[in-house]
Amino acid sequence: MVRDSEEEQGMEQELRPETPSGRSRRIERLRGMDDLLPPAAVCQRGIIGRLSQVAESHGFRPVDVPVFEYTELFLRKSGEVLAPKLYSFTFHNRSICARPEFTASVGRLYVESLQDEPLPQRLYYYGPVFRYEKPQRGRRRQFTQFGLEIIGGESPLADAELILLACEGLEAVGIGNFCVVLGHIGAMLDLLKRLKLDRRARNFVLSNLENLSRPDRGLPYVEERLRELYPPAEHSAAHQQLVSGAKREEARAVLSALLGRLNAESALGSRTVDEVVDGVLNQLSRPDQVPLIRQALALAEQLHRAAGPPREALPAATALLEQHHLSQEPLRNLTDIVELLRAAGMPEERIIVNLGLGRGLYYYTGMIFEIYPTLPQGDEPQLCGGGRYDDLIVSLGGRQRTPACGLAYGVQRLAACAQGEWTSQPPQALVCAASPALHGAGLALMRQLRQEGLRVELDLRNRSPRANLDYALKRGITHLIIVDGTPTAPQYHLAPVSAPKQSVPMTDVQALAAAVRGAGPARDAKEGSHV
Amino acid sequence: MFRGTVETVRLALPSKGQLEEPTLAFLERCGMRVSKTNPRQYLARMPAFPQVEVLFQRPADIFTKVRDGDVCLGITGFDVVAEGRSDGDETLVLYENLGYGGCDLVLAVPEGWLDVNCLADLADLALEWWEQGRPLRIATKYPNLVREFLYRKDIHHFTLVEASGAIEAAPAIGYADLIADITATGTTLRENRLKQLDDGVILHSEACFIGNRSMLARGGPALAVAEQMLEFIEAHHRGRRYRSILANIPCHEPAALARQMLDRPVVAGLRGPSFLPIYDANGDCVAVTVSIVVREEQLHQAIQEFRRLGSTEVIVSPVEYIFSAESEAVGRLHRALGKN
Repeated sequence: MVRDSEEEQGMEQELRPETPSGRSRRIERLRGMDDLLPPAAVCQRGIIGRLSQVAESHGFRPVDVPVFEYTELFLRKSGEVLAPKLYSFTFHNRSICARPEFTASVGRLYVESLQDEPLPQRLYYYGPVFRYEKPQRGRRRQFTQFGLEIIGGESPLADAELILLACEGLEAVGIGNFCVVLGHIGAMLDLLKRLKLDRRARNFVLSNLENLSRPDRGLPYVEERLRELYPPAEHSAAHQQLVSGAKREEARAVLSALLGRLNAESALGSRTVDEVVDGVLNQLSRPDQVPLIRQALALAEQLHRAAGPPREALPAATALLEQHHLSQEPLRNLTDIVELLRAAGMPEERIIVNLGLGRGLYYYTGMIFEIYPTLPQGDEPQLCGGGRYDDLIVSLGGRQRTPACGLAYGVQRLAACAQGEWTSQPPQALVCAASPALHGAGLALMRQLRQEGLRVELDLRNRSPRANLDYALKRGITHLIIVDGTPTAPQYHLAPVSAPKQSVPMTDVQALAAAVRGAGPARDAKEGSHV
Repeated sequence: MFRGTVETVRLALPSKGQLEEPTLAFLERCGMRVSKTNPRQYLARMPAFPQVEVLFQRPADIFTKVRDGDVCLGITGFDVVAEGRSDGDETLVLYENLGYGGCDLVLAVPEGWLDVNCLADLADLALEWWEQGRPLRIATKYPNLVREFLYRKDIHHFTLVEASGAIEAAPAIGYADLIADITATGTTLRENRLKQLDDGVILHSEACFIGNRSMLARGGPALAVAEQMLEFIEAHHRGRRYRSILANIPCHEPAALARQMLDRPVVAGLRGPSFLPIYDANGDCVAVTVSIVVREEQLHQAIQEFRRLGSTEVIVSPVEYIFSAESEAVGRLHRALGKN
């Protein structure tokens, strides 16, 4: 049974996949990815505009990089924590991913194109980044970053400038209350080196610093992960003795012979006997990593607890580092940065020093910081974060070690806190042709009015004057201009939306424009006087 | 293109492979026999459900057909479903473990890798090779499950080689270093000189019952069939853990016997014993027939108790179904569909 209305809809309908109701099925948005409607899009553009102004006032130049890169770029130095979050796929046999952040891309851009230019290079950029995470409020799978990099700027001066700039940007978008949490990854890196952690254990500690400082996770969560990933070691110190020093060669000979005897050579797949023997020897001689990891976590936890305003936290951290016989260098560096910030007029109560601060990305080598709307309690969205990565350029194939630091804002998170007014201005006049024959005249008038500096919109739907008035009211348009007469000699009727009956017939476009401007808001009138 | 009429509910069952026979046997035990007129045919009927049209498909196709709404209901391996589903898709797992077709998705390395026995060892190897620029290649038909599992275990540097066919041979042939594949007994792994990592079970899988969310949400015959099938599956699963016992016990005073039985929990029955009197020629009650249901593991103990109570013969039969006041599985389905 086909109803008339369905018949009328015709061929087009038949081509679409249908739902039982007969309408085309809607295609949904991807989970964790958002549309921006005009008000939000205006706000986002406004924020990016203001941040760009701040960046340019500091001498930064804009750059842009592709959305897709080879996956390797991000795995090289960004660390394994990012790997599960990558939108990566194999395309024509190459592993490609949508960028999860910008710094690695901008580093690549620098190595590729800017190495011959004088240092420092101050670069800024913005755009969407993609991370496959569990979507929640303030954490989306696609979000917009605005970021800055200072390539070739040494610590502490460049660090201080970067942090001041970060704060200036926040103020420029109307965020006056915030707190800068300042840390230094150098203290943990020094400890990890001294403990001689192997690479996997090192990664474990670095990637869990963030969990350690989260109130909802903390040490119990990290301990649980540790138990999961590090089952009790089977070999003991006695095993280590067996294969250490000169005994290693004996052990190697025995193992190789055994493997041969077991006919295991034919079941090695892609590895050789020597590789497997080496693997066994390495395994037996490697000290158990778990106690070392626990030691590192314990210090991180202590440092985290010692966090506070600089004048309290710096001495406390000094004592802790001394106690663990660690280098005071990171702390001296941090003290210098705090001094510079203070000298530049930054209120000290805005700064929290936390040497236990960790940011998932492994490429940091020095100062790191995060900015929160208030004191971080764990669930506040981080507005901005960054730090120093002096090794990144070299690891991406740069010619020499180049100091670098940078930051990124989460634009949507700024939008949620920004106080400013973000509106787009509605058109000043709606041009309505009285009949289809006058559409050409309407379009011509539009062009002339725009040349006079007006924002004008054309009625595309041949509405009645009454309907056009309604539309103009809803859109906040202040004037209606009705075009009648003949196509060769059009006449214009200008009517304010507030008093549609008071329409004035006119033929001169300049006078028409002046009348629209004259009656508009004061701001428009002032702008008009410049024309 | 053939499309079922509104009244027809399409149910896809595994054809060929290891799941076909057990599935048909399972459905028959659940009172839902599939009547296949011709063993080569891909269509069949179920006498208990005249509105159901049975289609025989490969397990992987069953999942996609249910997800895409070509078929409303299906029985397939949970491994296929876990690998193929994504958040927000249309697949609804109605009953996860049907109790047959059990197997594990495991990571296995060549037997000779003496230094790789658990995931931690594999994690070390992955990092070592990555630093050398050597990819760690894992052959699998389950890239999503394997990737997710390894990421959860902090293993990030590997390359998945998606392959079909004899995955177990990949390390020997040389196109992969290790494998992640389904194994039921481990025999194939051993025959190919591979060993399973101690903690390398990625997923345990059994046959499972799935349905298309939107089609079920519309109610009608599709939902009715799903509910009824769930009822029978659940009642059968519950029933097969029990045995029904009939025993004749000499007795003149049923109330006294009942007290004796209630003191012995094994023979107290689900709700207490029930008796049928046995009369002699004089019209006197000389014995009773006791009927109780016991858990299968308590059967022998129950028989001993009946002997002690003087029972001369004990008749034991299987319990086909135990229906409770409400089906849990149907309740879960309703909640998943947002009903109730």
